[in-house]
Amino acid sequence: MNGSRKAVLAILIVLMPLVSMGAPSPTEQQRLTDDLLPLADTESIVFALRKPGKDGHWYANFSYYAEGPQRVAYESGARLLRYNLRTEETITLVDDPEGGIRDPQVHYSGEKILFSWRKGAGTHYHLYEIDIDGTNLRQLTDGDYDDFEPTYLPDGGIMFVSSRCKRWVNCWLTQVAVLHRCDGDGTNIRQVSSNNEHDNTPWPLPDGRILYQRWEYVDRSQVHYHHLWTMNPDGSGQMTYYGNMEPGILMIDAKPIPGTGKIISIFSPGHGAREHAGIPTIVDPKAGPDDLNSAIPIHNGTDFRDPYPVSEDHFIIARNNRIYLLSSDGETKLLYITNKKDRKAGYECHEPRPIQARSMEAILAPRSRPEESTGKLVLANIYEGRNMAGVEPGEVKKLLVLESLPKPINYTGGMEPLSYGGTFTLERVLGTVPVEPDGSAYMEVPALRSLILVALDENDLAIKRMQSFLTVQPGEAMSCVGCHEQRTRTILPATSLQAMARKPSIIEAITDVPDVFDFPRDIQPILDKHCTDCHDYTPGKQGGPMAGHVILTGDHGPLYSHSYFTLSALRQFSDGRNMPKSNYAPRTFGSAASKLLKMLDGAHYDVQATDLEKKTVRLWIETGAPYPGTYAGLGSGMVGGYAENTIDRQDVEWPEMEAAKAVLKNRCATCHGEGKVLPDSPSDNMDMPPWAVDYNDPRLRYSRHILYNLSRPEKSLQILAPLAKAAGGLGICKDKKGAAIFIDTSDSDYQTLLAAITRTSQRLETIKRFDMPGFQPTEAYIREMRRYGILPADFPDDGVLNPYETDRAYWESLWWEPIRAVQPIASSTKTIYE
Amino acid sequence: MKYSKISKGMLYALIAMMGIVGLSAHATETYRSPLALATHGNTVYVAEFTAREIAVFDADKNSVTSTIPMPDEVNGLCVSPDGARLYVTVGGPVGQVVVINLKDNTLTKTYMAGHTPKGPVITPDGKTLFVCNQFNDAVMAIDLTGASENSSVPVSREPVAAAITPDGSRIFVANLLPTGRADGNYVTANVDVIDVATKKKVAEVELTNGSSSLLDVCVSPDGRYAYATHILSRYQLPTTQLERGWINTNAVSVIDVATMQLVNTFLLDDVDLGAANPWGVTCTDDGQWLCVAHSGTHEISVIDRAKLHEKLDAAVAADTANSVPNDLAFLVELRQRIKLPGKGPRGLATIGSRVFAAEYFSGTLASVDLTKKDSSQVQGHSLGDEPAMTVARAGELYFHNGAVCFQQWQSCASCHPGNARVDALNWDVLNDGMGNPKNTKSMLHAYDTPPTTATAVRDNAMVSTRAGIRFILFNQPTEEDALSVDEYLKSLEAVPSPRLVDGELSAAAQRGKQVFESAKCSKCHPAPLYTDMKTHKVGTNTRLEPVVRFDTPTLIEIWRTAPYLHDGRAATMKELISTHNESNFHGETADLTEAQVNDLVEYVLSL
Repeated sequence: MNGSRKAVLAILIVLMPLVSMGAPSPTEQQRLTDDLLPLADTESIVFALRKPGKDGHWYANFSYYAEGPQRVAYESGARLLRYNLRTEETITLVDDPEGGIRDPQVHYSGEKILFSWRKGAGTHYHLYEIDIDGTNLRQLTDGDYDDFEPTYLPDGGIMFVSSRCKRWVNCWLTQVAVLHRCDGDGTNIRQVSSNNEHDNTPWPLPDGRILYQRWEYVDRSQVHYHHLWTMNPDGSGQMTYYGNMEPGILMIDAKPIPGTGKIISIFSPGHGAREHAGIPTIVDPKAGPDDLNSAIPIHNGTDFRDPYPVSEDHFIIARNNRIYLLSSDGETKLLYITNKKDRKAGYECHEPRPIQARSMEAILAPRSRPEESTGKLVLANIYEGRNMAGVEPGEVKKLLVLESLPKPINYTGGMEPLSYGGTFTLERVLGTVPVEPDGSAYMEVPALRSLILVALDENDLAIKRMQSFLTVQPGEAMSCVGCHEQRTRTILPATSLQAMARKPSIIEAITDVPDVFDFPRDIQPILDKHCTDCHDYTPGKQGGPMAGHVILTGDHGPLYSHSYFTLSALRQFSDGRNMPKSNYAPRTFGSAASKLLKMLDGAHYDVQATDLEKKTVRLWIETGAPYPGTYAGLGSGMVGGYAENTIDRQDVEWPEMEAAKAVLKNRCATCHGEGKVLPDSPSDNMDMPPWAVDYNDPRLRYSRHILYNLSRPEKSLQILAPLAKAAGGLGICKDKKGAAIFIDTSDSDYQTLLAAITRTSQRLETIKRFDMPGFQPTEAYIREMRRYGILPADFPDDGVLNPYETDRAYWESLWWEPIRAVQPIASSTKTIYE
Repeated sequence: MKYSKISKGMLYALIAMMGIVGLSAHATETYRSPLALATHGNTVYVAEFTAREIAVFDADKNSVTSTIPMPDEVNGLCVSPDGARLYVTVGGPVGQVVVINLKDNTLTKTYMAGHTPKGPVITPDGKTLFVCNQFNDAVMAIDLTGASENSSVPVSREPVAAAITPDGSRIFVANLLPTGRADGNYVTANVDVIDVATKKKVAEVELTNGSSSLLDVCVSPDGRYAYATHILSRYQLPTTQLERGWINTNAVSVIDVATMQLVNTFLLDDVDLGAANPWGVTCTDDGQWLCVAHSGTHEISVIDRAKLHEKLDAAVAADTANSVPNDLAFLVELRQRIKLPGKGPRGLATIGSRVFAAEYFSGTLASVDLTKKDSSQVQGHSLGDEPAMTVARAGELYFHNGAVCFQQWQSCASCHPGNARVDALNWDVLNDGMGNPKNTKSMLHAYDTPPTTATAVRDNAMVSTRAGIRFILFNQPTEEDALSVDEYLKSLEAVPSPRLVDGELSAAAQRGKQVFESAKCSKCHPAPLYTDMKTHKVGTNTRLEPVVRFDTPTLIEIWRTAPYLHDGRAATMKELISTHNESNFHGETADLTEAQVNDLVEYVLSL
């Protein structure tokens, strides 16, 4: 009898009392037959039995929601189980009816298990190890953050995802976990991913790289790009493995299939499903990350998760409350089914792994040097790329280097009020580096930041732009071919790279404009100077009122300023919006494609902005054209704002608003019927939520965002349009006889409408928007900033702070801090540059 | 191995004697090192380099039926068209062609050949044998009828393999290395074409920029195309990473036989898995499959030849032919990679639909039956006893083993072919900063002449070796592996210069030796190692490499390692002395006469 079988027998004898008697009956359970020969070497499996998270999003199953620790995303009740495939005995290794257990992985030796455990009624998941016989339980990580989805690394360390990155999902109200690594004993924890969104399920490939899920959206759709990436165990060499161009599908739980060069992954349709449920799919990377034929589903069920290859053609896989052996031709054999009692209680099976020794992947020599603060980036030829037709050699003069800033807190699924249908994230200008005439560039960049490069022409206008981000580890020297080249291509330069003939460029900061833009502070003054004379509610010297039916004043609407809404709705600036589209043709995206810049440069009457003003607007556009320049603007200062995608409609209950609704019905509805319906309150979005805007929708003209003027209620279009010109109105709305609806302001219906708008204006005055004196962020913002150590632990919930400075302190706290070199390299070897 | 105290003359005498006496069949203490194959009928003839014998392998019985001892190390072989005779190239500086009568496996005749003969090909009429004399940079033609004198055709540099068209009109010769400066924008080795009738070189086919380490060439059975295997180096890029073919890729160049033009170069790698060190290349007799041995990854590629040319033609039609040498997914759907059981497959040969590979390091023969689709298609065949590897031999394997490299893109031999020598390219490796490429250095005597690298950034060769494994193979070396590579590299022995006459300095070289003294070369390059192991100001610093003092390299085997100086700017030794030393910092050569320069060059290249 071999060692493992002896061990099992010993366990059974010693732990007999713990052996669950809930083994399913033979009628429910198929015994290990010849059909299950692929498992001939596998005696037992380990898996987590737990109640799935409460949230429908695959990632939202740990920690708490935006409102605070009182509302958690996880369910309670879990066990770490060991199941003998032959005897059908179940052994409970860990039982926690109040806690959560997840992501076990068996060590290469086959003798211990690494897993993540949220103990009892505690909030956070941490990493633990336990021997396969259930003894020697030890905790590896601790702290006020969650650590889970761990994997052993061949170099003796562990890679896992953790919310130590201190950020929140850009489009939900839960927290983000990204890749970290640590030593085998849980010490020396180091963040290796700079992602603002989730990384998931890292797993080593035979060649030593780590395969993982990376969700991102840089100026493109929030729900389409969660695909497969690789990095080296020290975080270097981050690159797409499969996907990131073609939108759709969550690719998660990916693992290599031994001996094939392929992987198996769960492909969850659309934006994924609860607890990683999806379709088991085999991917062959040989034809590159964008070849759609390379992913073959092996079953049409969409509720599988956590596949584990046991041979080229067989996988252990979980499905709801069962575990199966799945073959690559779609056949399933049941291995385990949760007992009736647990099924009823809502327990499901997760993460089944065979308990046996396995071979170690290749150990890669580290390329990063943690004692440095920057890395180097070499670009061979920016003209090599897809969709570069029409870009002449020499046209690209510089790269604008931006960084995508993580969010300290978030409340809802849309991007408001950060933008209207556009960016979910603030981007920061780092500066520019030159591109040589041959298209090469060589630069030094800060480590562990989410960097975005924009190719600029001689007028600093954008030719092409990254809609993804790159990350360089400290001390890493990384090279790329060009601008979004085919990922199956390398390059053969015709000459040595001109950029390599000099030292690496240091990013040249742009000092005469802000690095993070705030629309009311930075852009509105330019509009006030050059535009509002004509584009105001009252006529100016040069024209108006409301010239061209366009308003560019900084008056507050319910969520945005009127100018901000107008520029967005009329597409006066070009950005990615929330669209599943990438790799735009040159000059069709960003500053080069923005009408607003042309308007300010002589194309529009006599308007001519100064160079500095144009630069300000240009860089505001390049950084995603945000409304507030601080994340403190989220979840605040909105009437009819959203929380958890639910719109706040408390204004409807105001008596003033009810009265106003009646007036709208009596005095306006005759004309404002189908296609021209008016919002009945400042919170009435008329089924046009800001995260999915149809810019051709004619109803945008009547949007609540422009009809209500909360800064100057009497200048609200809702009452100005039907008011006679003689009385100071615009006289747009007329009755059948051609007379204005309201002859003058003494009309009681006019007064009713005005009263409702005034009440709304007072509401805004109370809750305050980020650009109003006395503005204070939400309690949740302050709570998280305290937790991150940005604000002192005793900072009161209603304390006074400068949100711009607090935001800056937050991002800067996340910057890479060089650490002393931890380990020397193999004996007597000099390190690079020494 | 430390520099021998035996004089060179004695060494050559010993070798010559061995050649004449003819050592008996190998003792079991030596490795076999099967290197090349030739087939006829159902027989595979295996050239065993170190064991100095030919194994006769019966492909029906799948076993060795006899062995034929050879007088020296065996480099290559070919069978006469009528199957009556085997022509075997053996030896080093005093090479020979041994003729074997295949009826009784006896040695019937030997011809004198040049320095390190290999790659023999015979005309279809059986009358002329062409042999690549590697270190003479020439191909010799031997009239087997004895009617005329042998002749010699100069070729580009280090011919190592040849293939003759089926109609016998042309021979395509694979030159191992590029010629010329390394610091220009286009550096490549050539395939030379020899017209059989006139015995003259009629074309030099330039391959794609970065082509080096050509190891084999074959012609398709229909005579339309020649295929050459080689490394395609991205030498213009800093060696920051390996993935996606950033440093070395592995390639086949396709040449149109009729026009003698390069059709294209395609890559043998996959996007996430390199196919390091392609060596033997051959077509099956029916022309359906093109087979390549990957000596670094211990496998063969079997390529659908019709689909290959369809795809190459389509690229021309779509005007994307320029992208083909960069396409790491070119062979997806066209090619199978088949793992072999042994280590280090080099020469290939076919019998029908069976492909045979000589597995150099395991001392075995592998066969792949292309008609079978499952794992039973691969078989390993013993060639007899093979001794356990010494540490040095294990190091030699490691040095040539692409499987130890991240994603198997390359082995040390990719930049250091020819037993740890040079690829004649410049590389911007990161050990001394970025942006200052350096010419590849030979490993010969590296362990005797610390410090290492042109700008002396490594204390000694042990450090360099470990750094190379770490930073160029991106592998975390074990000390055991590193020590074995140390032993291998220390065991390297200098190949005697082709300029020696009967093992002695020529008259010109002797005169040159005097100039070597008077021009002060010997001050920094003193015998016996021809380096004082110090750094010196030689006036060769540039804007890219502003370091003033460069490490003094050994001059032993310098005849072999052109181009010269840290950035390979001197294509020849003469250029180095005459054009690149106007400042006289690098020896006092500015005022030498033409004759003195020539003599000095002759001397230095004789070392």
